[in-house]
Amino acid sequence: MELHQIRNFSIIAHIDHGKSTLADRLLLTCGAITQREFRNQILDDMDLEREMGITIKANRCTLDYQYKPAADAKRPAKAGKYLLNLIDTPGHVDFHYEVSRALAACEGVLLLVDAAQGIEAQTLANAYKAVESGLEIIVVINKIDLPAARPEDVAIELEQVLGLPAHEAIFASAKTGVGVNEILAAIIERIPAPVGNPNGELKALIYDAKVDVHRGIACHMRIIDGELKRGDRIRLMAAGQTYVANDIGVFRPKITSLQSLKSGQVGYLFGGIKTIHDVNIGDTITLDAHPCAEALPGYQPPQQMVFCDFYPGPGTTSPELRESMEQLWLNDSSFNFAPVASSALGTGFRCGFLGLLHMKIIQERLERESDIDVVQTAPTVAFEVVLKGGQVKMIESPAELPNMDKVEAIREPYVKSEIIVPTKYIGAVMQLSEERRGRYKRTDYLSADRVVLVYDFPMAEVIYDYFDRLKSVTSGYATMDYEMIGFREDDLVKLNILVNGAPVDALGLIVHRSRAEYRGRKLIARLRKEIDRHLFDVPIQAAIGSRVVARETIKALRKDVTAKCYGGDVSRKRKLLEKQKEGKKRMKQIGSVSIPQSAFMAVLDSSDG
Amino acid sequence: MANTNENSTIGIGWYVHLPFCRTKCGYCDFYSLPTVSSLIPDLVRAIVGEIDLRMPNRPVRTIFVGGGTPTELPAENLDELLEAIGRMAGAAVSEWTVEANPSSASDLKLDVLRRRGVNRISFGAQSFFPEDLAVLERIHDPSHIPESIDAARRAGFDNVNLDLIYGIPGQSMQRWRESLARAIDLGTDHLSCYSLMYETGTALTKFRDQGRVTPCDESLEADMFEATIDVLANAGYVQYEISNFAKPGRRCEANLIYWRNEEYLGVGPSAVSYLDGLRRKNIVDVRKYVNWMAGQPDDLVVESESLTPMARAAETAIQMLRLIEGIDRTHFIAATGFDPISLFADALSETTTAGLVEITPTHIRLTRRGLLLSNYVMRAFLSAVEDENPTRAPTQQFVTLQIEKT
Ligand SMILES: Nc1nc2c(ncn2[C@@H]2O[C@H](COP(=O)(O)OP(=O)(O)OP(=O)(O)O)[C@@H](O)[C@H]2O)c(=O)[nH]1
Ligand code: SF4
Ligand SMILES: [Mg+2]
Repeated sequence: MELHQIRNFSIIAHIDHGKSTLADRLLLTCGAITQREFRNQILDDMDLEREMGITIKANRCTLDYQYKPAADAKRPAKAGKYLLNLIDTPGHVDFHYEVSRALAACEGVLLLVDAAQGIEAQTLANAYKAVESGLEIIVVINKIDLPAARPEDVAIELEQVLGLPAHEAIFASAKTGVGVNEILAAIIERIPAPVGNPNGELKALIYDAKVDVHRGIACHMRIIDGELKRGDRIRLMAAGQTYVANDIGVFRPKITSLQSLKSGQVGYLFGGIKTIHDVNIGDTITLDAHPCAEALPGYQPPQQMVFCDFYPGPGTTSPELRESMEQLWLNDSSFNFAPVASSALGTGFRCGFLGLLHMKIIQERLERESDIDVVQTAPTVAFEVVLKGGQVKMIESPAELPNMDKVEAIREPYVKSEIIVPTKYIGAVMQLSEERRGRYKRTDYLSADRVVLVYDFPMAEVIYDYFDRLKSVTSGYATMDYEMIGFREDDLVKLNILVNGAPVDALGLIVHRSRAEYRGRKLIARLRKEIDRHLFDVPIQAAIGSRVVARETIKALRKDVTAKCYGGDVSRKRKLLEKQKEGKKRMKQIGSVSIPQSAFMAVLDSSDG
Repeated sequence: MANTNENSTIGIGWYVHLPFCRTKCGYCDFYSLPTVSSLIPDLVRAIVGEIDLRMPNRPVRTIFVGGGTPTELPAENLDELLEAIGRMAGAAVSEWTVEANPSSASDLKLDVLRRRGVNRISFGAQSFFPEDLAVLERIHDPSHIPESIDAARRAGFDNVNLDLIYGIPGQSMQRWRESLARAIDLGTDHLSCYSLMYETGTALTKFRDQGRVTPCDESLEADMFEATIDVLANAGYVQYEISNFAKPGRRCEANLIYWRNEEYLGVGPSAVSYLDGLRRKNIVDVRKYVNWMAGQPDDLVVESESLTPMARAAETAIQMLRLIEGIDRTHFIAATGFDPISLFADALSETTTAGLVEITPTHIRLTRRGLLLSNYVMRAFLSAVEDENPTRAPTQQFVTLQIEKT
């Protein structure tokens, strides 16, 4: 296969605009799957992806396509057989790095936009990425079968905002198949063939890696220059390790072995690589015997933005938790973890995630794949602490904050965020953003009735409740994208939560002084509902240093009596009491107060009420 | 049959369960169902047959015929049943109670009871206010209560109990005190005052879970409990168990057997027995029960559990703690083989420090505050036994439960 017969592209879009469904269509149309094998979002192969109906990991497939230019084709290409390498990407903001990686292996993208919803936050964010990478963008207005579809308007919006000519947009329905042939023709006609030197030294980009239960680690790579043959001894340039390419090939969508892969092709390599951490995504593969002169620039590693602790829940031990985390980490390098100890919760792990959804997914996968219980602390961001001597320390948990008289300043991460919202909600969004310490930048009009509001936000507010509140004040219409822009100093304080006078380390927070009382009140109101009454009054307080900003009391238990117990009830009663006693045992003792695990979880809930 | 020494521990108790009621009350989790008249003759026969088969060769000290509503049986069936019970139980019986509802005890039936030797009657009065009775879904009217007590007195009962309930949704302290006052005025010999319990599976619990019924505030309920103790003490009733109050000499012997974890035979559908260290439960469904004689005697049993010495000690302790006198140390050692002071050492130190339990030279008992928090104390006692150190009970399993039939 010659370079000019190859097309490499990704499908990018806002979440749920139909990327995976379009991929299904393309697979079917090109005969990669038969009608019988067809199922919705076939490339989403993780259980969790199928259950949640979203793509978490980018997926790829190689397609054969027999191209014949249409009679009225403006830029007809040479008729014949083409090899299409498709990458379906996730839409959610937490997985932007997956998109960035995918784009580095492509010359073009299909930018999908839902014809009823129009441009959303991740439409813009992903489109900008494609523009920055200099990729050809084919606009596909999807879901035109929907009654609310307004494809012409959406095409015009795209032209106005991104400068993508409206008359070139393809109107399609991934669901019914309308427009799919047009899309395939556009891929051949408009996306440039890869450039590379088929005769040069092997240079291949590792843009992803995945665990295959049977064969170990598969490097997903794109061959830039040269040729890779089965049996070649290869070298991972940054890692400095060599392996033998035992098995190479392409995804159709199942892995299909080939004797060789050439410049321009996208495929996989198994080389007896043990763990996913032996592979740096973005590394360059070359031949050990004839290495290329220079490695590819590679990628920025994904940046963890959200941190929380995982502790073993009831019925799970610390070693079990560690083992499960290691197991999962071998499959997924997108999170990190390190041991941590809490006086309240014992030995656990501080974990870093790409975002809240990612955190939930990892927790869910841990629990279901290893059948363990996880107690999770409230998510937080990382802070930069400037110590009196000028030294700067990164902390990923409020518990790590040094004594305040050693601290000169605390800096928190900020994100630049773009919020797309119908004009009638502008007021509500601005008010909310004000309350959540947003710094207004500007307003861009998408159309007469939709705008992009640009704000800088403390990341901490975004992960606390900004996003949920945003959805609720805009009746679900707002979408939002954000990216990290750096750390800024502010008046941040440590909020300690004291139960019966004793601080509970796992419940502490770092918050802005202006928000401390509000957060403290909400947190202890929740705790109050979770902690059972004791024989004595249990005060719960939120305090900054020695100053109490919020307080509640769990009144002492007065009555806990079984009124009736006669002959028939004796053993039932004993068993009931024993069960209650077991429940008590599972609780964490903080001084003389028993706190159920659920209390630590309840404080995660930032919703009102 | 005069009341003999209340502390007599010779002989066992018999309990007979009659499952029929006129309608089902919303809070009730006893096995009871609306009367199925066609089953009554067979039921009487099956019960008499069961007693005949299972009665141990031991003197019978008390009989308690409960339910359900035993007085729902027509007079002639009631007569037949009581005659047989009395005959088989023999002459040692000192207390024989039958439960009745204020609207179900006709003069005719009361005469039957007296003639067959019943000497104690217990009415499910619950409240003297129609609002409360409506929430409880009781069918009687408050005026039925004095009427049936009068009738019982006329029939010759000198030992009458009323069951009362407090903590009913909507009930005020005032209204509860009023119910108590009326019960006292009626000269009742014994009062069982229960706080309303939300048992799983009952209609009332469902209503609560659906938010259609708002349970009484915990602190009001505690106040009502304390008021009960004080009001009844002033009126000359002695509290001898968490929920039970008696004029002198009128404690319920049958129930004392349970609270001392002594042995009893239970017959009838769903009845539980505790004999020779074995706790067993009868088949529940009355239709299956009436046919038991057609099958094997074992078909009667749905659950049986043989208590290890340790489990027996634990149950004995939590039952005896219900008594105001508490755990009689000597009695406990004789019954279980364990000295409670050492067996429950940790629990005792915790609960005495918390002011819930006090230790006298002869007894371990709940304090006033402990009465209100008795479940807390009982859990502590159960923990002590479970965390049992091996030197105290080298080979004992805590409990073995075998479900033999379901
Ligand atoms: N009516 C209609 N529904 C569509 C069409 N394309 C996709 N959908 C539906 O839109 C929903 C989302 O589709 P997906 O293909 O999972 O969207 P996605 O862009 O891959 O979503 P993420 O991977 O989560 O970002 C599904 O319910 C699809 O059935 C279409 O052309 N018409
Ligand atoms: S009368 Fe008694 S046994 Fe019958 S349903 Fe009512 S409470 Fe239950
Ligand atoms: Mg998808």
